[in-house]
Amino acid sequence: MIKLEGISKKFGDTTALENVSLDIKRGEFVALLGPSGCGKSTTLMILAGLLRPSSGQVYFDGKMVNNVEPKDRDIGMVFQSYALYPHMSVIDNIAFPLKQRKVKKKERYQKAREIAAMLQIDQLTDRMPSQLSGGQQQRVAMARALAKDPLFLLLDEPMSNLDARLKVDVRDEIRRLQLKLGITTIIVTHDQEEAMAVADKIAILQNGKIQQYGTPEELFMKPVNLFVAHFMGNPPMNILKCDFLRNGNERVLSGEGFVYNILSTKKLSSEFKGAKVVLGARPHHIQISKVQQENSIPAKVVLVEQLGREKLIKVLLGDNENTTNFIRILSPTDLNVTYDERVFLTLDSEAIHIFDEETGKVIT
Amino acid sequence: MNLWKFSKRNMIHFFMILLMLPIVFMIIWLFVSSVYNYNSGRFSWVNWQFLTRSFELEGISFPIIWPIVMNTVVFGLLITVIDLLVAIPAAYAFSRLNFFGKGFALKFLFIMGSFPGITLLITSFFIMMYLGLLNTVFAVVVLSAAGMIPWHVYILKGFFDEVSWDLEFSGMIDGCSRFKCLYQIILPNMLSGISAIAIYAFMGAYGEWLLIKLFIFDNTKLTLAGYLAKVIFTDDDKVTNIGLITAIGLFYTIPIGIFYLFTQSTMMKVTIGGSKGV
Ligand SMILES: Nc1ncnc2c1ncn2[C@@H]1O[C@H](COP(=O)(O)OP(=O)(O)O)[C@@H](O)[C@H]1O
Ligand SMILES: [Mg+2]
Repeated sequence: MIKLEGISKKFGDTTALENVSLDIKRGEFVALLGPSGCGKSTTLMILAGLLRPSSGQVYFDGKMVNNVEPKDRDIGMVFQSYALYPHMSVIDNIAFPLKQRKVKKKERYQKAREIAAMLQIDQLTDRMPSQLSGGQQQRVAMARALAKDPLFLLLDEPMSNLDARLKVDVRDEIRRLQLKLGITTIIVTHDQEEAMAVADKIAILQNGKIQQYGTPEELFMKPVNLFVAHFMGNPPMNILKCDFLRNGNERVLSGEGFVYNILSTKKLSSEFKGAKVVLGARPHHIQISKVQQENSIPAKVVLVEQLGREKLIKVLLGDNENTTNFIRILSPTDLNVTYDERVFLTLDSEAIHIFDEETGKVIT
Repeated sequence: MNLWKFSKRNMIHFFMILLMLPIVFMIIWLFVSSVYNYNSGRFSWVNWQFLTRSFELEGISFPIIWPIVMNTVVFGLLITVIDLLVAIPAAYAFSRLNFFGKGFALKFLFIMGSFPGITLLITSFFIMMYLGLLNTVFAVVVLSAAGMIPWHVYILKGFFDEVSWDLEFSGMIDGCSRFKCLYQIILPNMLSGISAIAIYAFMGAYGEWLLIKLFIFDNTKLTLAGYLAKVIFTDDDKVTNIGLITAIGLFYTIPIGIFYLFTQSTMMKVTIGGSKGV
């Protein structure tokens, strides 16, 4: 339904987007995820028609819309700053897009009131934007974006100005509304947890390029490169540089403070011929045991944090004191380990990721 | 504690009144010298005769004041409207659009604004003479507006810059063309800037006397400032008629006082309700 094809955008010498292609189906909720400055807002502005791509095409329903003005694109948008019109009351703000469509006064205020009720801001309709809290302003911005029943909805970091607790409420609310209305929605965020929570699909961007586009599970379970692997998940995946040793049928990873034998069932990309790799293991895929087992890695506990539902344990790899390789482990609270205690780690061979150190690409 | 607060407020009032005294004194003095003849020691309203009839002074006839007041209002409004009609689009372009030579044009504007207008008077006079526009209100309006517009563009550009791009983008998404965005969203959010410029323009026109004295020879086309200037500069070698000057001067000052009270309160309101919450 929405299609970006080979979109690039340059601002003078800086390249904000490079060859971005994206397919979004009707009714889908897609998140554009990435660190600050990676080109998320630029992508959204190109979709809205507020920026012209330097090259590439934008299609809505198969029609090329590169030269269609924003006002004719039939979209609703919520800006990071909310951009409510300060000189208009809440109800006038919500009714404004309808006014531009020349909807009759009575009709448009009725519609605006309905939307306000849906977003639970019907008590506030006579206030001015400056008299609202951040969360209320956010709702008004949502209401205004939805007022004209747009073809799709663009949200640029809609929750970044809210406090943590409110964020969770608002994101659930946005998801609920999106499902209820079935509106195709694109949300921009730098918060992977937020993206995972609301989106059907996530496009993860870095340096103006899409690194991976897929469902949250795909991105989490099968990251295509080191960047995606490290960006998804909190606490982030543990990353360990190591040498890749081939010994007949055996494949061994050897790094500072550890040696790990990859089980023979694990398939590796046949293209990989190098010797330097990066081992990635998620904090909850590592088990701690007090006794040595086959293929386990010795370590020393340096920090135990009680998180409530689980414990975050930080350990130093190796059996002597002079290594610097730390990893973080999430484990059940009933595990009793204390500071300075010696433990042994076992990695789930199926759950580990191995990346080519040179290219960052996954080889598992 | 209460006593301290009370005396503090009294102190403020005391100093404010103290500062106002010279101004009040000057106004009273103006009034007294307009109705009191120091030489003969008699009171008379003769210097205020311009309120009710035309009169003659040193062989030059001066019209009754009310048409002049009307002229002043029309002249002021004309200049204000022209100033805004030129300065707003220009400032918008400087703030929002990218065009070839923008940086240079902005510097040029700055130089234009700082250029002492008086040095251009002779050139302006000859230009208007060749165009056959001497003794026309049009000439004065154009020259007066041209003198003010560069700075006003500069100031308004600042106000445009204050209105965030997001607000304008929002408008475009919500169905506005560029022009609609300007007058439905951007301008309402910089009303304080526009009122400030309008007030500057009107006050500038109100105080404009040099151009009027140079370009207008017909006494019925004068504005208040021009009228006052004519009276002051009439007596080349004669004794200056101080009584008449103070009477007209006082008459000239009163509207400014009223205008100031009025505009000050609206400007305060605009600034408070302005772009808060953006
Ligand atoms: N108007 C602009 N002029 C110049 N550079 C810009 C402009 N807008 C964005 N950029 C640059 O493009 C890159 C991507 O910006 P943006 O899309 O805003 O990032 P994000 O929203 O992901 O934080 C950044 O390096 C930014 O500096
Ligand atoms: Mg951004």
